[in-house]
Amino acid sequence: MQHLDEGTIHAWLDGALTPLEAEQATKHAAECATCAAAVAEARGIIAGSARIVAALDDVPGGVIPAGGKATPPASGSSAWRRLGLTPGRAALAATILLAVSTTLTLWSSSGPPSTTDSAITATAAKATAPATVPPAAPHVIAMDSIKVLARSSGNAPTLQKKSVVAPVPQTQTVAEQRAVADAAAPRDTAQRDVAKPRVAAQEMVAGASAGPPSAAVTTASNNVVSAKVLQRRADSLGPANAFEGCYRVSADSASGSTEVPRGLPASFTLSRPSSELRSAPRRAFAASADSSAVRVPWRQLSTNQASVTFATAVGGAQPVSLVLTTGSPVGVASSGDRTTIVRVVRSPCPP
Amino acid sequence: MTDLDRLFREYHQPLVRYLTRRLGDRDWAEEVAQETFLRAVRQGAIVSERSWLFAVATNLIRDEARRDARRRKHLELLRSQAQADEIVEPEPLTIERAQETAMARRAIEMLSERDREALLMKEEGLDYQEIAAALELSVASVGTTLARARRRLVEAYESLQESAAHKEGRGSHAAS
Repeated sequence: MQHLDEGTIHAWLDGALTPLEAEQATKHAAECATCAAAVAEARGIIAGSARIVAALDDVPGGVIPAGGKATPPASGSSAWRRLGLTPGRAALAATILLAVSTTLTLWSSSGPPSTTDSAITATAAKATAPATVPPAAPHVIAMDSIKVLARSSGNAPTLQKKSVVAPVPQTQTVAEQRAVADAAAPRDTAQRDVAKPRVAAQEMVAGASAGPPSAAVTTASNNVVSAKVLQRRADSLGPANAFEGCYRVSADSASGSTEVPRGLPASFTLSRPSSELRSAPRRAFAASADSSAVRVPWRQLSTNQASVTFATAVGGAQPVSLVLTTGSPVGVASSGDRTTIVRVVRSPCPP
Repeated sequence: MTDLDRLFREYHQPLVRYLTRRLGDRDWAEEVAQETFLRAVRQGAIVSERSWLFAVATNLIRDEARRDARRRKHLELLRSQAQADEIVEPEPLTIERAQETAMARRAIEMLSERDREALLMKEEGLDYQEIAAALELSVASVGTTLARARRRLVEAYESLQESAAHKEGRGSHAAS
């Protein structure tokens, strides 16, 4: 008898064969060792592919099984796992090593530090103590403290006014501040956590041995990178002003709707983003509902779609999100598990 | 309950999951899903709702891809950069999981479009008839398509793993 082809085996395992075909496949697989092996392999492939597809989802920790064909072999697993290290522990260890080695190096090369230096060194040492300080922001402060200390000891002994906190511009938006926080806080990625101490160590050595440092502070450069990424994202979405203007909302009789969902205003305005918000177009633009003039968030989803969320802006109703499409006279309003098509048309803005 | 309500209740979640897996972007997936449901309402009577919805969503993705392939690549690049720079996960990803997700994404992108869509639809519970209808295939060829897609996905994933392990081994060797 002819062997089962791979497609038939998969269809059989997927339950897609007719009862007669399935019976024939079962009988053949029971008698044919080659096909039985092919079926076993297909089962493995189906399970493996399903797990790979599931890995595309955002899943809670520990859900993805550690063993099996589609998981990394033990020899190929990362050094973090083999050493039992977490990124946080590694970063902490690197920071402590760095602080100790810095202090020893500077002490031996330029004598005991000045009073101010001692204070900063103490700050660094305190910040790196695992039992007393949470391993988040203090880690960065410690790094910056060390850098300041290293620079000062190379040339100028005075650093009383030098700040040890990462510079944060006063005009930052929430998104930019988040980006700064992202850049400053230790990540759950080994590369970032390990890279910071390395970069700082290189700067420190350069600063201690050859005068003023040549590289920018790591945190500041990360801020710049984050801002650039945000700006590029903003640019890639195209002009948001395609959506700016005033809109009137009404029931869409064509789709059988007779009323507008509660919480949706009769009209609203999508306002021009202020200049400081341009770098975060997906989060921080604002619209105002005409009756209450409350600013509510809207964001550009793509070049031709935007989403407005009327959270509690109108009448304290359930949050309603409205998706607008340029050139379309209707929008999709979602509130809870209800979705309604509504007419959304541009209207002249009041003077 | 209106037709839209029912459609939305029954199919929104699997459709968005399918689109998210396909696109790697939840916002984009939501956008395409919204547009799909909008078209469903305008369409009126639909014989096979699930295959119709998945087919329309798939076509929307393809249309957009054709219209603006270059921009999408650019966005993908920016998205990956931004994701690398963001820490707004609901819970922190472990390195291992982040690597697995990235590798799974790369492996799935290595499949042909048709294989990828058939596989993702099957994982979403569509049967062979529905997949055939959505992708305009014969029912008989769905098994072959899925077998090929699954095999290639696993092979691509294993190949990526080997190459990562090789790089890691080289890195540790160089470090020592």
